Amino acid sequence: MLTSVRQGLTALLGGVLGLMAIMFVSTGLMVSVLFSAIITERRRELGLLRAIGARRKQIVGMLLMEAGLATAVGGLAGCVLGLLLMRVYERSLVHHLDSMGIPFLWLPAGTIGLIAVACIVLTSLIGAAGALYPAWRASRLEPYALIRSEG
Amino acid sequence: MLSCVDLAKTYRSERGEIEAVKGIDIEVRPGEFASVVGRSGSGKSSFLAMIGGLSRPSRGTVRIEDTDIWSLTDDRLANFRNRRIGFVYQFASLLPTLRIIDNVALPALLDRAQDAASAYQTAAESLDQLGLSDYIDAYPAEISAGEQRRAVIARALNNSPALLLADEPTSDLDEETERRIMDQFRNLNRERGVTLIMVTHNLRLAELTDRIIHIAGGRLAS
Repeated sequence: MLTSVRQGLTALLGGVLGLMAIMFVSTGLMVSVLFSAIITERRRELGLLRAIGARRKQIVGMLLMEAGLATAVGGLAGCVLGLLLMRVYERSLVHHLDSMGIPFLWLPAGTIGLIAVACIVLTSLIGAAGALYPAWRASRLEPYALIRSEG
Repeated sequence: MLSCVDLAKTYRSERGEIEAVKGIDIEVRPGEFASVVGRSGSGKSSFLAMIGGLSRPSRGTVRIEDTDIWSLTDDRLANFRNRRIGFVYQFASLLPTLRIIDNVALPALLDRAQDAASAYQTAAESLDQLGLSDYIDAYPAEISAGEQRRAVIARALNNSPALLLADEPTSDLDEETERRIMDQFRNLNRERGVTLIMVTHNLRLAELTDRIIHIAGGRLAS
């Protein structure tokens, strides 16, 4: 019986990891599409920055930092929401299992904190990676072409 | 100060090639206040973009203070624009999410040679010279179009450029504000020796400058 449970959990873990990978890739693509639209809308602003002396690397750096910060805030919001859901879970299912004498093992608080930090860092990196191509493409355009854009 | 030889620009689009500038040779002396006039589509803005290091010419050279600007690497050209050229555009060109003083200090902040404190001090002095010291902490949306344009001039002057380029700088302003902006340009030219090149389609404004350069069909007109 233990073997079949272990096999089931292994299959479940593989499925969860696969799903997570798909979610990360699709999030990266969504950020990329979103930042393409944002950058197109702000072309004139980028052109002005180039005209007053911003280098290509500075433009790419600024856009990546913006994407990284925005997605990190999203990651933080996700972690807060996850913690709130854990509290709800603790007061419902875990409470019910405890009343039946079945212990529920939580991860130590420090480990949960570390996982939350890792999630925020990961979302920030996915955001920056998603914005990399549109930022690089915008930085390749001539300042005058950027300035002439409607925006 | 400025020397252009056989300067030309061809744009490529799906509808074919458009030759906006067709070989311009010109010299502008240090301290000169010149205007470039011509009809819409005559190539005057493309000409200004090429001499300002914003658009690479299809042919020809641009020398500013003995530097062939289009032979520079991209980073060095960005530095050159930052330190030697100031721009004033025909549209509101302040970043809306930054205060006026941040906008004016921005070129100096981008130039890593200056620290933030001295960049802000110079910006405050530039704003004071242009009569905008009361609006240091204001956002662009909180001041008038004329004041915004003066803030752009303050930004353009913040790194003490050798050359100030203005593309239709008063096109959306009323006559009184237009006169004040032109007075500012004239004062900068006389008192600080800034070389100014202003693109305009307004002959009345062009007549206030030292020299009028006519462009028609992408060429210098007599």
